[in-house]
Order: sequence, then structure tokens, then C-alpha cells
Amino acid sequence: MIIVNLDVMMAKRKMSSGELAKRLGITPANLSILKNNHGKAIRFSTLDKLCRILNCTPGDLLEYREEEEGE
Amino acid sequence: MKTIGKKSLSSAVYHLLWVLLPLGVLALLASSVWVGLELHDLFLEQTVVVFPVLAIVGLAWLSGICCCLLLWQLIGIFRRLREGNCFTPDNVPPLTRSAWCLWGIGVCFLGVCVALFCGAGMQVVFTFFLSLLGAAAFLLLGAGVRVLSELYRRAVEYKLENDLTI
Repeated sequence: MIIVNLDVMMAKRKMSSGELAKRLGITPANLSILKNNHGKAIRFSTLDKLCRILNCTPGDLLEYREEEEGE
Repeated sequence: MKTIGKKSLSSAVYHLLWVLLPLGVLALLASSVWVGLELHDLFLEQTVVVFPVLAIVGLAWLSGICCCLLLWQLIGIFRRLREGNCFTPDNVPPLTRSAWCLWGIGVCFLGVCVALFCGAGMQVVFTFFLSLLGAAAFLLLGAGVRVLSELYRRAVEYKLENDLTI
């Protein structure tokens, strides 16, 4: 499964959810969906903005983890 | 014209359905008593026409039940449309059940056709073809609603995916 490590990057860059949501141009509710891995997909445009704002690469934000049994 | 939400076409249909359902249930209950008495008389007469008449009356009563169930399903759908919840997964099962109700009514009409043919032959040719037309219409409508429910289910899935695409 794909894990979004947005909270880790936000902590590294010392950026609040509200500020990131504002700069991304999305609602805090949608950012929360993304942060808590409840999202179904991420647009390239959103990923592009995230990388630019947080000064990182998609690899820093997304991680592949082997799915555990029964998950 | 506003079609979805409060003070809209769906709201008007919702209220109309709430008028029709109690009327339908009342008619069904009243006809049960009447049908019971008629059948009792027919049994006593023991004529050859009894079986087809029994079948027609029974099937008409069954189609009445299907109609009431259909109205109940439609009330649920239109209530959610009135609230503005169009693409909700809750609307899919009632649509599927509506298709089954329509098929039920269609089968009842078919049964009436068979009973008419067996009981009266071609003496009631107009009623026979009218019933056959009714059967075809309801069976086709049921198939249409069943396909529509599947489309609706997929639309709900797409919406959910779209909502969770950030």
C-alpha cells in the first residue's frame, strides 16, 4: 500500500496544516484526508504543488509498504 | 424548474407518493375483504370458470402488493433526493428492489394473460392483448430500472473516488 508521509515532511518544514492547505489551495478537510491516508488518489498538480511548497520530491512524500495480512 | 432539493419536483413527487401509499394500502386491505367474499362465493358455485377467475383476482392482488412495495422504495429514494443527497449508496438498493417489484407486476400481468387464455380463450381478446401489453411494459421497465440501478451504483463509486482524489 502507498503511505503518504505528509505529516513527517510538514514537521520537518515546521509548517501547519492550515498554512499548507491555504498555500495548496485546498480545504483543510481535504488536506486531512490526504494526511491520514484516507485519500483514493492524488492529482499530479497537487503533488507538484506539495513538492514545491515543502521543497521535497514525490519519493519523500510517498512510500510503498507491504500490506499486512487481514488489512 | 428545480428538480432536486426542497421545494422542487422531487419534493412534490415525494409528497404525492406519501398520498398514494396509504391509499394503495387501504385499497389493498379493502380489496382483501372483498376478494375473500367473492372467492368464497365462487367456491360455492363450483363452476368451470372458477380457476381463471381465482388466478386473475389473486394475481391482481399480488400486483397490488408489488405496487405498494414499489411506492415504499420510491419514497425512500425521493426523500434522499429532496434532502439533496443524489449520489449516495443508500439509493442503490431501493432502485434494485424497485426493479424486482416492476418485474413482479409484469409476471402478474403475464399470469393474467395465461389465465384469460385458459379460461375464456379468444373471447376476451382485447383484455388479453391489453394484459400482454402491460406485462411487456412492466418487464421492460423493470429491466430498465435494474440497468439504471447498476449505472447509479457505478456513478456513486466514481463520485466517491472523485471526492477522495485530492
